[in-house]
Amino acid sequence: MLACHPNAQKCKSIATRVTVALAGTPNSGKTTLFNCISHLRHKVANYPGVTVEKRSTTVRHRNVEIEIVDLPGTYGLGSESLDEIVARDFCVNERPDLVVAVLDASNLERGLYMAIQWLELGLPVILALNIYDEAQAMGLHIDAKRLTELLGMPALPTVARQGKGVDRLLDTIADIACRQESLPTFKSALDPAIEEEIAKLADLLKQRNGLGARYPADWLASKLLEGDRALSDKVKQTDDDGAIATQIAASGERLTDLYNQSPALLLRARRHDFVRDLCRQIVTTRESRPARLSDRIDRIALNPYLGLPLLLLTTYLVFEFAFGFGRLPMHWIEMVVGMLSATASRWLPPGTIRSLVVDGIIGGVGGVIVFLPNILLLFMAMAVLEDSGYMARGAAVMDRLMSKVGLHGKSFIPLMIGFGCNVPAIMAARTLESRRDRLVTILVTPMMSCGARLPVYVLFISAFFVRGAPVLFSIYLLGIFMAVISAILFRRIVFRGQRTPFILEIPPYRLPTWRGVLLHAWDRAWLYLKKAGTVILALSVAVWLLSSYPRPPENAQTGSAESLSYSVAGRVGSLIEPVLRPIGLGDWKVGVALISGFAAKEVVVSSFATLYNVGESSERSSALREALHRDPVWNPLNAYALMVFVLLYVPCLPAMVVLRRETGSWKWVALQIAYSTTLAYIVALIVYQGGRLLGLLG
Amino acid sequence: MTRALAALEEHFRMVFLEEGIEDTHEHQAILRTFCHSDSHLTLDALLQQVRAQGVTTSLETARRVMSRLCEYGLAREVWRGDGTILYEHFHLDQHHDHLICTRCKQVTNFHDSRLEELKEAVATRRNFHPFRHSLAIYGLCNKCLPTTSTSRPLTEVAVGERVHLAAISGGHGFVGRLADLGLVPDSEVQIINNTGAVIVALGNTRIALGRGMAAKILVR
Repeated sequence: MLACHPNAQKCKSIATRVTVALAGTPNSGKTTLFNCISHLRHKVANYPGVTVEKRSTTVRHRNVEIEIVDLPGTYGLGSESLDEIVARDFCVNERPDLVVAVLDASNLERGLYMAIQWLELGLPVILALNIYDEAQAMGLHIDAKRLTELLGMPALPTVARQGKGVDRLLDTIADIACRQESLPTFKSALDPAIEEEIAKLADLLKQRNGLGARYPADWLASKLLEGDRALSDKVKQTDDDGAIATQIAASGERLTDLYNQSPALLLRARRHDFVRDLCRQIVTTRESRPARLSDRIDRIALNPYLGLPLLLLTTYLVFEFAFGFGRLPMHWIEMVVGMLSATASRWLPPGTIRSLVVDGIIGGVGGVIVFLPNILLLFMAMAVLEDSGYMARGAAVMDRLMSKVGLHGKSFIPLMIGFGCNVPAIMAARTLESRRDRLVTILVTPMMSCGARLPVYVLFISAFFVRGAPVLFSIYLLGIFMAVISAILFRRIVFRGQRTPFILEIPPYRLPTWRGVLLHAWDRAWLYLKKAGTVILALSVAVWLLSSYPRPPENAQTGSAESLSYSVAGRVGSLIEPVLRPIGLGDWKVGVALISGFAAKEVVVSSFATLYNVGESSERSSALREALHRDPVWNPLNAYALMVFVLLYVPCLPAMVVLRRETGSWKWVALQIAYSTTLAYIVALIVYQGGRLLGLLG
Repeated sequence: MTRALAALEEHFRMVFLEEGIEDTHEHQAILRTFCHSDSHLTLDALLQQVRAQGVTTSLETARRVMSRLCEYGLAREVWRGDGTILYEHFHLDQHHDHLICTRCKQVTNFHDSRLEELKEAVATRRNFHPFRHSLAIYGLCNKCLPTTSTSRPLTEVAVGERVHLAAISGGHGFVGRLADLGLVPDSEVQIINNTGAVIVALGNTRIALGRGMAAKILVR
């Protein structure tokens, strides 16, 4: 077993570099600890929503460069969910120099159960006894020193929320990195019969299987006995004569006979016994635990009659918060953008440059930045729901309903996150154990209206509707309704079969910290701003270019509308126009805006802004909302049809990339594109034509 | 037999006298009736038989006499499920013990001389002089055992109850996932919520389980 990176051998006092894997159980405050370390000394790589498999950050501490990789939270190291496989594969393939196992000190048994699995894998481990304050408040006293002696690995109390103990943790990492000797090897004692069977299988693996070299043979053997699916499949590939399979079956039979328990359960139960015994030696309870406030709250939050209405109310409040509170700051930003464009118009000479800056850049990017407050508030609300622990309750409350439509209780979390942004939402589906459940969830997640679509609604609602909130809520409800219909459809046609059971840990309610909520919201908002500065800026310029060139011939003295029809955008738009006419969107500008929206949904807004400004012959660049309002093409009915179409049509490019990665096949991406666009068209058609029949056009 | 019963009656009367209980006509009738009946009697049945002899007595008196008899170990109350009390002879010649089914409340008498010897031996070894003894074995009778299994699904457990996991039926993956969360046979859980999703407390954690799955977990 190696204690540190090979390079560390050379280090005494000079700089060295270690890779540290941050592992832990869900709800142990692992992410908080990660953020705490990374934001202390900045330099964060791979933010969620971009390319992440795993996040990592590099910090310098006492001359040691420490790269910390944040692994997904897991309860064990089996292959029950994709998260567990990701965590395990990282440690097997990349061999980090150290594993920091973050565990909830108020729930030590659970945490140690996971931590010793890292030890079994032959990795050096440091224990971070996180949320130590809560454990103390519960009257638990943990003898960390004794724990260190018993397991031979450092155990440190931390309170990541307050940043306590983090420096000591980094000190310890640096110490181990510079130390020459390795940490002692750990082996949990088992009954002779079990040891014997493991040894038999391990020997066989060493002789005949290449995997025996990559994984510690004992560990691999015990995992195979536990019935680990992913590893069994891997072993099977090289197990030509079936000798290993025969041995697994024989050992399994013998142990079942001896203990009257399947090895899958037996080995886990023994691990629990070991941990329980360990806890008995190090944990003392000072006083009796008071009745938990969490349980009392849950009597209401999980009540069969009140639970669901409460969940709906909470969801409504989230949107009310994001939309209502955002109005004022939105107005300020709008004013600033207006001032900017007025100033630019004044200082720049009339002509191409002025048009590019005012109409293309300020119009396009400004049109999107206006919605920053909404995005920020929406993500703040989502962070509160997640950090407080209410999200898990939502999943428990929704399980019955979800299972009726072919989804799973845990699907609720990705779907809810989908209201913020589809990209992390699609990734959050990883916690679902069954592939079928995951795929259905991933495919319907884009129907959850994300924050980027909000600008489109807000723009059109404020231009054409007096009372905005009900209209907005109706769009969100339509998205949910369509997701339900689609889930039923997918379940019936594509993914048939038994539903998988629902198991979810319900964390205690915790008061979200301002720091945590703001950090989360800010990360997201920053991403949005970055997108505005890059993708949206580029697309705004592109749309401006396409709608400005080629110019009409000099001699043709024509109005702005005709001059636009010469441009590439005008021609493309006219090409699509007939297709969009039945859904009430027979305007070439709509076609261009919708196509540009493939890149990101908020680009629909920036494109409209650019297109309307280009068409405007007046010097003054007016607010887009007014321009739309004045355009005779628009009315409330086709504005609504447009919103419906934007809600449902093709998810944005980043979402599709993530969808490809998470599903592992372009096939699902193709299905998603075809399905969502068809659905969008059909629903918009029903809305528009139905509305016309009902005489809503007046 | 009659001599034995007469001796029993005499014995009771002695005790009554020693304790200063009036040896009234009523008392004698009750005592006689009880001693001479060969089955276990309820208070009502006893009263009926006494009255049939033309003795007027009240329920109160009968109960008082019988409870005195019990107090001195001369009769014993056998609890019955419907709330009535059965009075039983405390046989001087042959003692018997009881098997009581907790489900149908049926009482079965049994006698085992080895057990009697053992009880005596235990008392003697400790220098104890026994007057009487009683042994009741509570459990399920043969008829009731098949209808109740001692384990029941988690979905049938009341909120607040503490139970131990007995068995989990399901595939490897399912059992393994529960085991990783700490839900292994013999672990103790408390039920927090049992409508909709079942929520159990395991140590300091709360785990939500879908109903379909909770039905597959047997507890005792």
